[in-house]
Amino acid sequence: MPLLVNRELWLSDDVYHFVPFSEYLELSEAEQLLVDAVQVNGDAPLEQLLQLAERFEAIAVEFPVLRDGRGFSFARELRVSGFTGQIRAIGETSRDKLALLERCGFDAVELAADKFKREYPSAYTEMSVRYQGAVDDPRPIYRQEEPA
Amino acid sequence: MYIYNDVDQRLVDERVAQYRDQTRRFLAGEISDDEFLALRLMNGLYIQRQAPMLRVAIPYGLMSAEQLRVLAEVSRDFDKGYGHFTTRTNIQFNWPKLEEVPDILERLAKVQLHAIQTSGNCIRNTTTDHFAGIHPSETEDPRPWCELIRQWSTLHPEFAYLPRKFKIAVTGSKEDRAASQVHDVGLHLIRNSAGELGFEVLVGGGLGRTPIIGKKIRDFLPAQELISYLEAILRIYNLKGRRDNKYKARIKILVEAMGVEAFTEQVEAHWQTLKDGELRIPQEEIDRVTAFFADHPYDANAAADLTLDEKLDADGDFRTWYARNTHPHKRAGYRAVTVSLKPHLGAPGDITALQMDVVADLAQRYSFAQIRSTHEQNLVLADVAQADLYAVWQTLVEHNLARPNIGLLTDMIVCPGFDFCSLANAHTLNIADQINQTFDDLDYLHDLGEIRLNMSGCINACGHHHVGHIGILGVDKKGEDWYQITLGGSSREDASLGKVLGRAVAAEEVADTLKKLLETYVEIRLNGERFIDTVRRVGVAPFKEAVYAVAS
Repeated sequence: MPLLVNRELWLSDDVYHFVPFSEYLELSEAEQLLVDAVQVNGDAPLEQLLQLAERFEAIAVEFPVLRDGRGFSFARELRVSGFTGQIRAIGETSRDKLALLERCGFDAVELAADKFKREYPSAYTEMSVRYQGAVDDPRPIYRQEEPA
Repeated sequence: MYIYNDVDQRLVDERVAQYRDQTRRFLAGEISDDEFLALRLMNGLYIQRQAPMLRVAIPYGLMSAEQLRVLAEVSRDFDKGYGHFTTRTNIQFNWPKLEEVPDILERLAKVQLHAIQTSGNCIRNTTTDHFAGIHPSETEDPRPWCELIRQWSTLHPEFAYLPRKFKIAVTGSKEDRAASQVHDVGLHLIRNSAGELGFEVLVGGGLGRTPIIGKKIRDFLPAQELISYLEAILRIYNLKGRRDNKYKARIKILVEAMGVEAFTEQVEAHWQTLKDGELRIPQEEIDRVTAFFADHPYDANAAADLTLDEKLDADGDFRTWYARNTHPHKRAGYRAVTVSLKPHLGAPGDITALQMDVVADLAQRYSFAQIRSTHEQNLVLADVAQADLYAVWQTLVEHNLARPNIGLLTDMIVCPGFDFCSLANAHTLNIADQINQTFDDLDYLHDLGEIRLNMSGCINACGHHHVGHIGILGVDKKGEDWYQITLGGSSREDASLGKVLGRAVAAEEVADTLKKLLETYVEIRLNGERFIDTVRRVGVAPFKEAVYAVAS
């Protein structure tokens, strides 16, 4: 499945083995030490995830259905709480969500092969105006400098 | 009114190009139906019973004469020469072609109009008092805050896939003309005892299947923290709102399920992490936006005019219209004029291209080139000098826009119903006609006084039937249209939900049923008592008896 990391297409095999967060919580302390990446969806206990996030190098946030937007807030909360590892969007992602995902703090996106098109980079640049502060730039429009 | 700067313009231009590309990819089979559905809805495009329907945003109901002329142009060039104003103060076109929508949007963008977030599970057009900025009893003009909300909510990356749609209303007066208590968020602009500007915040109101009056979660929010507080509410909602059942996905259900105290606690706790931060609106920005809504250059001598009184004395029809369709203005010598989109036997809220041009011309000539759309599906020329009222009236009469029925029974809020909407269970426009035919005696209507009649063609309640003094809800019974009647609703400062009168009545009996209700009212009303007040005093019982006694 095509994987975008920081807008670049990665063709190499996945470096992380994502363990479902619910399963991770059931593991013994010794077993937990072996886990460097977990996977959550919108049902996961966000507070607990934020507390444990620094243990992981990567967190995959699943969008189980097209209309489920909880993952956007998950990524935002992870970033604002200081998580610097990879946040990967998986599940029902699409080209038209790429820019939104990035703005909310995702630096990686898994795209279904049939949704992947070579011109995907344009998805990041077609909207240049950002009225709101978000993870990519916390300044709302009224704190951004006037464009030259 | 707010005028786009280069950045604002770039956003809508880019959005048009983005949507054009999305449409192209959809038509080329590169985007699935389901995916395109979400994308087109976020841009106001539905696929309806007859054809696609495009809903264009009129931000907080304020538009320029130039914009209204372009809306007329769009309806001529891409539709069937008319449009329909909605309870969200937007305008709908019922017959556009899907592949032409990008061209329509491009035309609209040239005059700073768009269809962004007029549909879909995102933050919709913010609505406000249609007398904002001009009403004599206003505390503060809510429109600058509406504009700040518009910008913040437009293409917000985190809130594009909410559990369900999200509607915000702002008022700046003790009187509520924006139905703020039946919105997902209602904001009341107030001053505290120190004279500082802020908002009383209500959450969790709404209509639809589960009508609920909003609950106050904050007495006073400093105005500069408006955006940070909204962001806190939206984030809690995005994270916790139900995703498993779209009928239980609105924020009102979340607030009910959590309890308003627990919900408030979570919002407040999260807000503590946001306030006094980047989202705080700097005073310069508040001043910048507020300046766009400064007073017009009113004529200080407008009240010296003597012709109005002469015309009022001389012309009874004008006098009736003046009393019914014009309203007080904060400046002496000015009135606000409601342009009635509730003609005899016409679809409520509909307006032809010619009428749009006529209203635009009147605005240009007599009302500082601005027009407002109301959630009651009329238009307002907010700043007409009294000396010009007669000329305005004459033109409105000529174009069937001067029916003197504002606030009366025939000033109905009505959704398009089964004739157009694919969600509807029952027709509404034929019932509106039936009511118009039955109650065509103007003197009787005036004697009945203020009555808000709201009708919806299905439980989704686009016609706000729960908050009509009289509410009519169309239901489908074994393939036939039946109508359930409620009494005692209000969307005003004294908001209340109507109570069901009894079993639904058949389509042909609706107007007769109303007749019985109103005869009962006339019989039992106390001197000068409005219909709603009588219902509140005596309850539904006497009305129920009058309607069902003989038949059963």
